Order: sequence, then C-alpha cells, then structure tokens
Amino acid sequence: MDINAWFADMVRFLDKYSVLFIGGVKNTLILSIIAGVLSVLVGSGLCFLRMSRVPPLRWFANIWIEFVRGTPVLVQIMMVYYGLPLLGIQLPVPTILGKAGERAAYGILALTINSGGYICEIIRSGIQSVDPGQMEAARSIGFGPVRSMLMIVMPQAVKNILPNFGNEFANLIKASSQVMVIGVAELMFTYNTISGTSGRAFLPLVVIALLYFTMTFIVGLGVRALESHFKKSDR
Amino acid sequence: MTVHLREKKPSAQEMLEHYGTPDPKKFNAALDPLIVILNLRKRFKSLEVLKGVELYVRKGDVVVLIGPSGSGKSTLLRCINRLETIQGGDILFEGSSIVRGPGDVNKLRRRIGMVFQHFNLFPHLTVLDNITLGPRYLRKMSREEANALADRLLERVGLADKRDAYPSQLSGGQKQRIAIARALAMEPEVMLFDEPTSALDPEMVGEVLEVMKDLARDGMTMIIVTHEMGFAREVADKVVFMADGVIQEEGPPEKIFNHPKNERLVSFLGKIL
Repeated sequence: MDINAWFADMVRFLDKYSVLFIGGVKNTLILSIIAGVLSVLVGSGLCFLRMSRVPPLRWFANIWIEFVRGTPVLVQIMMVYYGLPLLGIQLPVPTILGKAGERAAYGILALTINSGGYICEIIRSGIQSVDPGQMEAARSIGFGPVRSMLMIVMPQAVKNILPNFGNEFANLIKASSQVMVIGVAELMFTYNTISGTSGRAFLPLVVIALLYFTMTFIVGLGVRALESHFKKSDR
Repeated sequence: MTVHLREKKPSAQEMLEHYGTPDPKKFNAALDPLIVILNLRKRFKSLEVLKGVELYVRKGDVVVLIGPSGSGKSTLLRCINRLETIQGGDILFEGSSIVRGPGDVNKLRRRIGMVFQHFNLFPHLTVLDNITLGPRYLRKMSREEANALADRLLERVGLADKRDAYPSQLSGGQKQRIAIARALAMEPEVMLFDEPTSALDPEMVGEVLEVMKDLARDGMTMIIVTHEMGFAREVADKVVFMADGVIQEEGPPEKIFNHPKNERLVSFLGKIL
C-alpha cells in the first residue's frame, strides 16, 4: 500500500470517529474516577472489618475479598447487573454518562466491589509493612489504639499504600473496559459502533489500545513520581 | 489478695539479709514494693514461657534481669506494661492489680517508660517531635512547655544538637539515647529496658549505659534486661537470674556474681564471664 494513501486514510478515519473515541475516553475516565474514589472508601471500611476483633466482621470481609480475587471481573459485572434487579434493587440513573447512563450505575457498583477488595488488601499490607515495634512504642507511651494507628502507623504506611493505589487505579481503568457487556458507553463500547459503521475490525482496536495505554501510562508516571518522592523522604 | 501479699512480704530480717542495705530509707521502701509480681504465668500457644515468676521491685531499685535467651526475661518485662497478656498470677503496681479490675491500660503505660532493643523511634518525626508527642497529646502540655521539657531531656542525654534531626540521621547509640529521652518525657515512675544495648555496635554501648547509670543515680526505678554483666555488677541493686521461665536465683550483684549457688547460674556465668 502506498504510504501516502494509507496516511490519508488514517486521517479520514480519525477525523470521522474522533468524537466517538473522545466521548468514550471521557466516559471511561468518569467511570473509573467515580469507582476509584468509591473503592477507596469501601476498601478502607472493608479493611477496618478485616482487621476487626469481631470474627463475623472478619469473615464478611474475607469472603468479599476471596470472591473478588477468585472470580473474573466480567462475571462480577454481570452478576451485579442481572442479580440486583432479581433482589428488587433498582440503582439510580446518573445522567453524567449520557444516553447509556442507566447502566453505568451497575458498572460503577461492580467495579467498586471489585476494586474495593483489592484496595482493602493494599491498605492492609501497607499497615502490616510497618514494623510492629512502632505500634508497641506508641502504645507503651500511652497512646490508645486509634491514635497510635492514626499518628504513628498510618503516616508510615501511606508510603507503601499510595503508589499501589495508583497501580490499582490503572487496573481499574483497564477493567472498566469490561462494563461494555452491560452496555455502558465507555471507550471499549465505542468499538462496536465504529467497527460496525466503518467495516474495519482492527484499526479501531489500535486506536483504543493506544488510548488505554496513554491513560494508564500517565497514571504510571504519577505512581513513579510518588515513589521517588517517598524514597527521598526516607533518607 | 492483701492477705496473700502480707504472707509473701519478706520479713525485715530477710530483707536485711537479702539486700544487705543499711540505708533506712531504702529499707523502708523495701517493705512497700512499687511492683509486685506474683506467680506470673505466660504461654505462647503451647509454649510455656513464664512458669510462676515472683518478683518484688522497690521504689528506686535497679533490678537487672539476666539469663540465657529464651528464659523469659523480655517477656516478663513486656508483661509489666501489658504488651503481653498473661495466663495466670498477678502484677501489682503500687498495690493495685494491673491485670484484673477496670484499670485503664493507657493511663498505666504513661507511668511506665519502655525502652526497646530496636529503639522504635518514629522515623517520620523529628527528634523533638518524637519526644514531645506524648507530653503534648497525653499530658496536655503546650508546645512551648513540651519543647522546653524536650530540650532539658536532650541536654541530659547529651544530644541537644540533634533536636531537629530525623532518626535516620542518628547512630544507633544516639537513637537509643533519644528513645530513653522519649520515655522520660512522660515522667514515668519506673523505666523498663529491654536489651537496650544488644542492637548497638560495641563502641556505642558505653554512651547508652552512661545515660542509664545517670538515671539510676537519680533514683529512678529501673528494670533492665541486659547481657552487660559489668553494668549489672556496677549499677544493680538486685540481679535476677532467670532460666526456663522461672527465677533461679536473685540477690545483690556481689552475691550473684561472686557466690552463685544455683547450678544453672554457675554454668551461665562460666560461659559468659
């Protein structure tokens, strides 16, 4: 193929479908950011249960985490989408995602359940990476368990937790592509539309892959910046 | 409990023999122990670490615990400020049980200073903040008061110039002296030392022991787990030899080091001296 013709073809393709791609990126980001924020909240709560002294609370958290880790995200998304209505639960419709918004709430919930489990494990391992002697020292001065955790252990655990939050967020962006199966109009969902109308199977995938890569790469840069920042403060 | 205590309290004659002290002030204090440990039992799962330990610590006493590793010395120390739960027996602090009853463990720990083998300074805080954290939040001191207190303590441990340093910038010996200052900032009635020099390079052991000697001279009640026999001999009012989870022999250093009776003690001293 002539390189000039190929180039012209590319430009025409991108020009025609860029609005769809950009819309998809926007929705993917909205979806991921909302689910990301929620999963930090859910994950923190879950972590609290997981480290609780009350066994049933610990069991609940353990079951949640094992389920999330042991089943595919796709299955989790579909279970939320088809399962909740069976239980008679109707989720509110967020208008922020446009026309396909009615499904987005299910997608966000499923991603939050999934990511929340991982966030919980990140927080827990971050806390456990702090030398137990720190907690003992704080307690032996006379600080209670909550204050010891907040003033002594958490500030040190954050160094291990924050970069991993970034990694998990990158995972979340990728996992969000799977909510297309329930018809949420995020980036991956645009593939159906574009490949259908343009008749091209591969080209849209390349664009989509590049767009996902750009998003996760930027997050990755942030993670590395955080890591080197914390390494500096270690010295 | 009180009856039990009275039974267990050594007679004046026994005290004189035991401690060999002619100092009437010390003698009176001896009749009223600050810490009493009665038949203390501690198990880790199926491993019995303390098998009925009994110990009296008077106000102003320097008690040094020695013994082979795994003998339960550190565990005994950690039981006193309730870093370990116990399975039997009792620990009395100023006459009231710290194990039973509704006592607030956080309040108790404020009165008991603890120094760890691995210092356990807070790495994210400056030396000053390491020392003032407790006074500011628990003793409700203003920042100025707490800083003044910290400066006095830093002066005392000879590290006034390290006020604004972070723990990672200090040597091991300096870290341990800061850890002692941090514990002192709560103005505790007793100080517990858990192998305070074991993690130090040999040339730094001296500076930490100096600070501890200074404390002892000031009349601080101290319970020390250590392998520094020279220090024990010089500073201790009472040396306690533990092995296999029980106290095998105790007494003044002269008696323990020069006229050991217990077989285990004799062989222990033979190995280390």
